Amino acid sequence: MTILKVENLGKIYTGRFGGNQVHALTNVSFDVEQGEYVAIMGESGSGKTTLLNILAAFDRPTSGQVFLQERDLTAIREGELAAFRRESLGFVFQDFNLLDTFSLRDNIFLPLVLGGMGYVEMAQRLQPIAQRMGITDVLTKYPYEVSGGQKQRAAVARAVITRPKLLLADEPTGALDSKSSDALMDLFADLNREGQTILMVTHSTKAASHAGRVIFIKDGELFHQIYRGGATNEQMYQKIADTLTLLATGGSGHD
Amino acid sequence: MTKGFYARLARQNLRKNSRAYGPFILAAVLTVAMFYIISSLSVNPGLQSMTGATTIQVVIRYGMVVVGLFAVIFLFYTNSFLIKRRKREFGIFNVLGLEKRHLARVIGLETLYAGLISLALGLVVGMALDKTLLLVVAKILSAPPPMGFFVSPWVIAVTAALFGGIFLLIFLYGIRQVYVARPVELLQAEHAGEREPKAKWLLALMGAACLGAGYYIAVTTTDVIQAIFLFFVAVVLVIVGTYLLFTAGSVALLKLLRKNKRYYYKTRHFTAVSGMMYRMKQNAVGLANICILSTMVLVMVSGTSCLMLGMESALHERYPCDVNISRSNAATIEMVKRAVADAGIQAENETEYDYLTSAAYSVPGGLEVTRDYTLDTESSLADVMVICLEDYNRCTGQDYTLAPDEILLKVERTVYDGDTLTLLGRTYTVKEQVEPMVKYGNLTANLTSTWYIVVPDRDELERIDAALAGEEGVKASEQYQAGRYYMSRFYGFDVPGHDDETALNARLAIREAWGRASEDESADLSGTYEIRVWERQDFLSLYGSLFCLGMFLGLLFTMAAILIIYYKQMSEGRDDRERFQIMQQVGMSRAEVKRTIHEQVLIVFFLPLVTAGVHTGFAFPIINRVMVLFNLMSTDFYLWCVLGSFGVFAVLYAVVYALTARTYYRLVSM
Repeated sequence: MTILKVENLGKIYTGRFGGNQVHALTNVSFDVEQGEYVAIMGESGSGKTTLLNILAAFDRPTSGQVFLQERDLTAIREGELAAFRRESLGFVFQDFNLLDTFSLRDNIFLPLVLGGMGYVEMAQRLQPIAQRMGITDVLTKYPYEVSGGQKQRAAVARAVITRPKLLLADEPTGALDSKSSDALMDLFADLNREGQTILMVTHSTKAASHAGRVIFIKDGELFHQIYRGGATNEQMYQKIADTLTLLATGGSGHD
Repeated sequence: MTKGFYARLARQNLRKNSRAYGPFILAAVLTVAMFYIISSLSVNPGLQSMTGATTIQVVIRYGMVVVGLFAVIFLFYTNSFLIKRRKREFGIFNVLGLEKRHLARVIGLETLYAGLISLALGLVVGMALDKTLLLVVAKILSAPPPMGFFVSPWVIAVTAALFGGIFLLIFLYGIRQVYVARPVELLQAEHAGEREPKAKWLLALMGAACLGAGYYIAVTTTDVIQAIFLFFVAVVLVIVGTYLLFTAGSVALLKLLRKNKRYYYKTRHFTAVSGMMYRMKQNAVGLANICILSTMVLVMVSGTSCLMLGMESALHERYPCDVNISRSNAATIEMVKRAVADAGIQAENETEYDYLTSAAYSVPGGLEVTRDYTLDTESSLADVMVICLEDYNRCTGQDYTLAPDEILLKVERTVYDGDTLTLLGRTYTVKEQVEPMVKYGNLTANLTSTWYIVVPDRDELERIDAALAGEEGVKASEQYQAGRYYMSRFYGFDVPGHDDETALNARLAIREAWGRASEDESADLSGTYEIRVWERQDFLSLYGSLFCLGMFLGLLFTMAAILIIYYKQMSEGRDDRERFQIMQQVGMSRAEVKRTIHEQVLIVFFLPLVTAGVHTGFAFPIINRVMVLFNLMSTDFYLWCVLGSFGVFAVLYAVVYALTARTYYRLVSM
């Protein structure tokens, strides 16, 4: 079943005085199936973040449409957006975006509290998630008191506690050391195996090598995509590296 | 690197940080101007030539000290905001290769420039306003405006020395911050101080206790003389209590709320409670400052404006007639009457009666006459005035009758609810506490309570007179002429149409007649004459200068409060931008986030105003009693002054809030 459908997406940024136009995205189309784990790669400025912002409904496209389970994201009214985002999407960011004023537990509760859930139910939901994220012991601590890896795992917990249809991750390993990165990628793989659909934007070949499919974007256009098929992570890593080389040397890679 | 490099860097830094430095320099300019003005007034020769200038200058000298102290604390405090914000910048400079001594040099030059600009502009503004203010003071004192432009080198020197010292302090504080810290700490300074505040229960409880005690004193103190001493105790307690409650109390309360899971995990409360905790930690001291400044402004402005506006009524209390002759005798009053008539002045509303006055202690059930003042009994000290019923009825137009041993009573500045009253060994029945009393102003100027007693007849009055003399002993009574121990006569009258000119003419006539009569050594002259319009000048100079000073300090403190608000909004805005974005990302709508933040900011900024209002409310009874010392008897009138001051201040506060809130939202949505 297709969970996310991106059709002919285009985004043009216009300078403040109507001057130079920047085509951030041009005619991007792809589908994501239920239970898929997709990585989107590209260089800085390639349009990855713009794409993610549109998928997360932080930004609206200039042209094209995005369907999340048949619902047109670009047509949702401003007033409903927040609730929609809360219920259907989970986010993991490069710099965690945890609020310093909340303990990890309260940070994780935040979307549920905004949704009006009672404390008992929230606590029941949190317990298994915290356990598998390995943060049960640090739940009462504050973001500045724990390590980067713990922060990111708390952020993941916050993203999945709402049981979102789609988990969006923006460079989730960007601020982590290699050990924490590996652990996080294993966690993502686990979540995916349990059926969580994940869409991750990343620079890191290693991170992307865990994904089931990698989409490459160059200059705002879909450049290439590779499927894991039966490949191991190492083989996947090699494939990605090759594609990146191709991307960097300027080949035209549509297949 | 050349010397010019540092100077350029310093200038550039000032310009780049203009959003933060601008208000600081503005504040410094205004503070310099204020200090210059008040110092200049204290030595102004134009002012010295005005009537009542002595009183004014004493008051102004006090004001000078207050403004000076305020300048030190205020500028230093405001500057610490700046330094905190700029630590990161210093860190970057440090990393880029500026050594700490170079940094110190840059900071030194910056402070020097800021100081010079502030001082120069401040003096210019001060000199311009000085003249304006002098005209205003002259206007209030109804004196002719002093001519010319007065500039005193001494005042400029004092101002320069004070503010030079302040900026030196600021510089030392700045380089201390740089020298003590390592570059990494400087770089991360902005993110320090975000730890969760600890709940300090003991301090919170102490704060509540201090505040409670202060309020209790303010509300329960009934004795006016005690009120003056206790007032300062109450002020200190309330200030300490405010600081403790804002810092420790707020956090403790929020933690308590957070413990209640059913309350805490609600959409509205969740972000509000944690957000407030964070804000209170950063802002508690600043908010407490605003609160105390606001309270000072309210108390000062309401008090002094009440005095100023109520001056006429106080003047009439003190001088009930246009012309008042008191502690006099029949012969003197005859002489005065003749002089006034000879001057062709028609005396109207004449009042004339004999009376006795004495000091006494108020004791349970009555009064104990004394000549032996000691400090510890000061609080129960009273003034007694006794007249007879005949004079009372005649002078007030009443028609009372009294049985022997019955009296009429009127008590001021205290309350007496006994049915009987013992005086000089005799116990009287209080028939009634009466409202109108014979016109007599001398005792209203005293701090003690005043007891007006009307006895049934003249015999009783003379009996008391003799008894008073007995208390005194023979020796003292020798000062008085035989048979007339304490008995005095009061004579008062109005001139036609209460005309000032006529009253002053009457004064001249009386003075001349009195002078002539006293040449005759055998003449039986006694008493003092007081003409209301003449005395008005003294009242004006005291009340007017208090009023000017109150407004002046009120303005200064308001400015300080405004500036603190501005800096708060600035620093809040920068912090909130990040929170604003994160909350949207996890599923809060833009409108919700805006509302949440708006609510918190609103609470944070209006909390000091509300608290200041409560403080002023509790201060009301005690200040009202202090007002009584200034002959202002009307509680209603003072209440209106307080409400008026609060209203004006609240509007001003709201306007400032609205203006700075715009800066804030620009920062947040940037």
